[in-house]
Amino acid sequence: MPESQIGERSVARRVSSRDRGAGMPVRSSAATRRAWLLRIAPLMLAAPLVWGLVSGDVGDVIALAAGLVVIYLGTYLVESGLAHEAEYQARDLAKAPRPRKLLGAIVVGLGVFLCSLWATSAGMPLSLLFGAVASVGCILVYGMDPSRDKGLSPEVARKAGVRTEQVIEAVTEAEGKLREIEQSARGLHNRELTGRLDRIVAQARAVLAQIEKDPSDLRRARRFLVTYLDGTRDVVRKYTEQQQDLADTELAANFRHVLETVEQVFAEQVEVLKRNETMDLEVQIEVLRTQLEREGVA
Amino acid sequence: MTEHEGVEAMSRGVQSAIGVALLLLVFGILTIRALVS
Repeated sequence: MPESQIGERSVARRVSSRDRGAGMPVRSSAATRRAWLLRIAPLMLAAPLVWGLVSGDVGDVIALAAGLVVIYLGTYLVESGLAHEAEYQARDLAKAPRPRKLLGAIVVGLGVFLCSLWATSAGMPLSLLFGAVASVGCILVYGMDPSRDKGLSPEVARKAGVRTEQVIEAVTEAEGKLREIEQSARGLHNRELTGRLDRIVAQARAVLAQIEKDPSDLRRARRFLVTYLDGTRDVVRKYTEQQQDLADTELAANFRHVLETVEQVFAEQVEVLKRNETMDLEVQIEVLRTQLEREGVA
Repeated sequence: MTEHEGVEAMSRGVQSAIGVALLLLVFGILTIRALVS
């Protein structure tokens, strides 16, 4: 597949994932699989748990409850692994995530082992077998964690004058700021402003995707990533905190006006980066910075 | 989808089905053993 298509798909994934809703590792929120089997299958053990309560067998009840807690801890780890895997898949440059799914599978196996050893008549060998089978089952269902870093080829890195780590660091930092903006946006009471911020974040993600596609954009977009995103994040946070007091004031109107400009300028960023027009980008950023100061919201 | 991708997807599906069967089997057996013990 041509590189350009890969990049476009990446942009589409980022933007569409944002449009469909918010979540923890954001780019993964739409694609994240839930470990439904691991959520539902252990519920079978609720039957002997209830029976233990009815018959007054405290030992079995404690064993099953402890085992279920461990199993659901493993389920949480597997789901966390799935979320990080989806985020890894959505990015063109990424470090391999920690092996959360593998760890989750081991923890589920441990939970099954405890249930089997303490709540049934199975001995140690059979319980170990049950635990191992449960772990293998988890790995077969949810797969192994990605183990390879997605980095720049040495030639591209040399041409762009950046290292893979620099790009990953800059994009990850920018992602953190976008999440903060999303978090603040969720506290806004005005649906129009929330929608506008959703679009702004989607556009910013498109810029990040463009940087991953062509890392030489990183230098030109650095100001966008630092000054611009910081400014937007701070403005949104301050407004959200004081929105009750600011309603129907001049500052509220200014805030709306600034968001309109931000949205408009963000929308042009990808195109500017694609056209390789450094001057355009600098000028637009300067204009927005001045406006943020003039409107008194920065 | 290329032939290679098709084979890979099918293999992944079979693996997943085996995994589901193993998990259901383990939890089923555990439940029965815990009930009868």
